Amino acid sequence: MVVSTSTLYDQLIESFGDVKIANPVRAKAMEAFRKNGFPTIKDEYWRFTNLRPFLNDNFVVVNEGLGSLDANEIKACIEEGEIEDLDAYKLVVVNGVLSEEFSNLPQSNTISIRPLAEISEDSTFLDKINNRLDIEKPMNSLAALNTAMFSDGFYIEIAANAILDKPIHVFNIYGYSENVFLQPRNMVVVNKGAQIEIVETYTCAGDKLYFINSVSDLFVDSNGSLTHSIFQNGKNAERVVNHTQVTQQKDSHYANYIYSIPQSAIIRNNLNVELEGSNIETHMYGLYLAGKNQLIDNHSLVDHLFPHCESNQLYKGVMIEGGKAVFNGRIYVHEDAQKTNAYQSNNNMLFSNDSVVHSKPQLEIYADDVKCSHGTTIGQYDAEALFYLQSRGVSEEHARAMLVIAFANDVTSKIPNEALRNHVEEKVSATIAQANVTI
Amino acid sequence: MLSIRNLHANVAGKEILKGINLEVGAGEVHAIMGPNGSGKSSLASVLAGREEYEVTEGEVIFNGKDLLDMAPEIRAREGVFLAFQYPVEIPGVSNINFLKTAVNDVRGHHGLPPLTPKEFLQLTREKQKLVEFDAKLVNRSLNEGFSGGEKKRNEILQLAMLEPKLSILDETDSGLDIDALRIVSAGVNKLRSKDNAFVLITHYQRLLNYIVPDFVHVLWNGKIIKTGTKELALELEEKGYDWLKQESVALDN
Ligand SMILES: Nc1ncnc2c1ncn2[C@@H]1O[C@H](COP(=O)(O)OP(=O)(O)OP(=O)(O)O)[C@@H](O)[C@H]1O
Ligand SMILES: [Mg+2]
Repeated sequence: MVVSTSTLYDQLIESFGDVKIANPVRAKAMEAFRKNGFPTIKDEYWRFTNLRPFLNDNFVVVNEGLGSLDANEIKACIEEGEIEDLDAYKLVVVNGVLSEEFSNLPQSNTISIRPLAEISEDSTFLDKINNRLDIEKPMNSLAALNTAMFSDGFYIEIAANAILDKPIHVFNIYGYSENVFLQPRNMVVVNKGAQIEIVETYTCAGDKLYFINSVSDLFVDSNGSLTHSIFQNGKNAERVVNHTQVTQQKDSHYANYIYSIPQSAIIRNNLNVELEGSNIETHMYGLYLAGKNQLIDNHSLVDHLFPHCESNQLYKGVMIEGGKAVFNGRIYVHEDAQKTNAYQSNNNMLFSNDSVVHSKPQLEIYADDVKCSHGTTIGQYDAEALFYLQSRGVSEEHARAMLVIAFANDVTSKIPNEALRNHVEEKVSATIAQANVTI
Repeated sequence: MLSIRNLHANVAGKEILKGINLEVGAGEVHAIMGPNGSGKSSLASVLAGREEYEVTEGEVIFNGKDLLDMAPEIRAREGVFLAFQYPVEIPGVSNINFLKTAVNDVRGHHGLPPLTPKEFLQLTREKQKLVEFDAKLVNRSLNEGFSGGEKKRNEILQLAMLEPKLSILDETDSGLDIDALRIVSAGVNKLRSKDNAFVLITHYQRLLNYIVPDFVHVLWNGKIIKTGTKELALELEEKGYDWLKQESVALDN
């Protein structure tokens, strides 16, 4: 029995073409979605995030590539996504399709940046997608749906030992004239000893509803390094479920930074990292500022399979105007993963008396010689500190912003890129300064 | 400059200030002394605009304006400065950025453009020297991990930077070593002018040797029960407060 929003569900099942069924991976994925349907709050990993109200509207399920944005609209979206002073290559992806015209890509034969569609038709491609993502689990049914149906996205591969001199700023831009259900799929391959930094922004044009169900497969081979930042500041009409599946090989480094600010109605980030070798370093930093009518949900999983690895998760939340947040951080340390260092912490600051935070650390440790820690705090801002700042002439709005920036500092200070750090701090300050405080 | 008339204030439903009258003119230095718990910090808090205090009666006029009507930051911008008895630590807020924001917010209030980074640096250097404030502390988080004395000196650095009209120093001398007391006092004396005024809340006559007050007031049980000149402080040093308390009780009856 399927307990799902039936119309969209039926529509999705229907729109799944015969061609794709020919592919066994796609077929398996579709079967998983057919069986599990959309996640419901009965699933432990979706308990506090009820997707149902966000799926009830009429959506058109579109293949990437269609849509209606003219050059001027694209330019406007690029401008919206721009990060001041960020010296970066530009990868502009319009409705899931790479746009050469608007991009400014590195001219080097050590890096390949292509539309995913170009290679996804290759018969071996579907073997390349991250098989660590268990699409048969009900909790991953949206990732299954994406696997079954995606048609395009971006593909970035950097050759062994190559070091990209500047970050790549990916402008994910969408524009449709009706409510759409989108399923972009992206892939990044960092070969042995290579280093790359990717910054992603999202911009949706117009006022239609957007449900974005995206999946990214990331591979970091031995000694490789991937620094990955995602900035989420969509409009209320945007609904985002984003699954990032990372596989790291020995001696590699992966850092994920995710910043979410109002007003997307719902943001669900799944970040799963598999540590498939020893001496791996993994950093996961989140900063979310949940505002009015907004739910921001971060679910993470760090899977320690080998000894001598270190993972560090730090998620900080600021709650305003009744915004809601969920944090569920899982650390799994397998029996062989001795000498693991795995840390996790989630701290929340409340500025609203009807905000809700559900925070849950989940540590499953089967090795005995490990260092693991976790901690959760939920508290109000320090009224004494606020008064102190005000008593020196600083406006209440500025003072509040200063306290929030201070609170966020142990996340933002980790941002290696100064332009991005300033951008995040500015957006957060501006949002908090305007907030209506009820506590 | 400052007129406090029949000021009554409650905190947590309890009356703490019970009819304070105080006139402070430009160029004057007033000292307020009094036993622990008599309401000295409460008076300072009410003047600075601390939210927990509810004014039930009376008025405070500052340079012709109703002070009690202003938000705390407006009071500060209008020229009221309170050096706190217990300055708070604010991890993650850098001392220097905080100073810059404060200075520029105050300037903005008076229609002045923000200082250029160079001007700001110059001003900071100059004032730092005045209060002999360790340059290393300027770049740290606001008061975080500062020693008691360092916190007090930081209050005076802020005072020097903001150049207020009315400065209220709540036990700034407590926690300062002998040298620091001399340095801070010398700094305050240099900042004194015919246009600004100081209210020194203190338990110790010693401070008043360095910063000589025009008036000394004794606050007890939410009221000023005695006003005199600097000699009163010497008398208190010798005799304590009991004789004044008795006088006051006798008067009330
Ligand atoms: N928030 C509060 N809630 C309840 N009582 C308070 C509060 N703040 C102050 N008081 C009380 O008000 C009275 C006056 O306190 P205040 O701090 O003004 O004294 P003070 O004269 O500054 O004393 P000290 O010399 O020890 O600094 C004290 O009895 C104190 O306990
Ligand atoms: Mg006191």
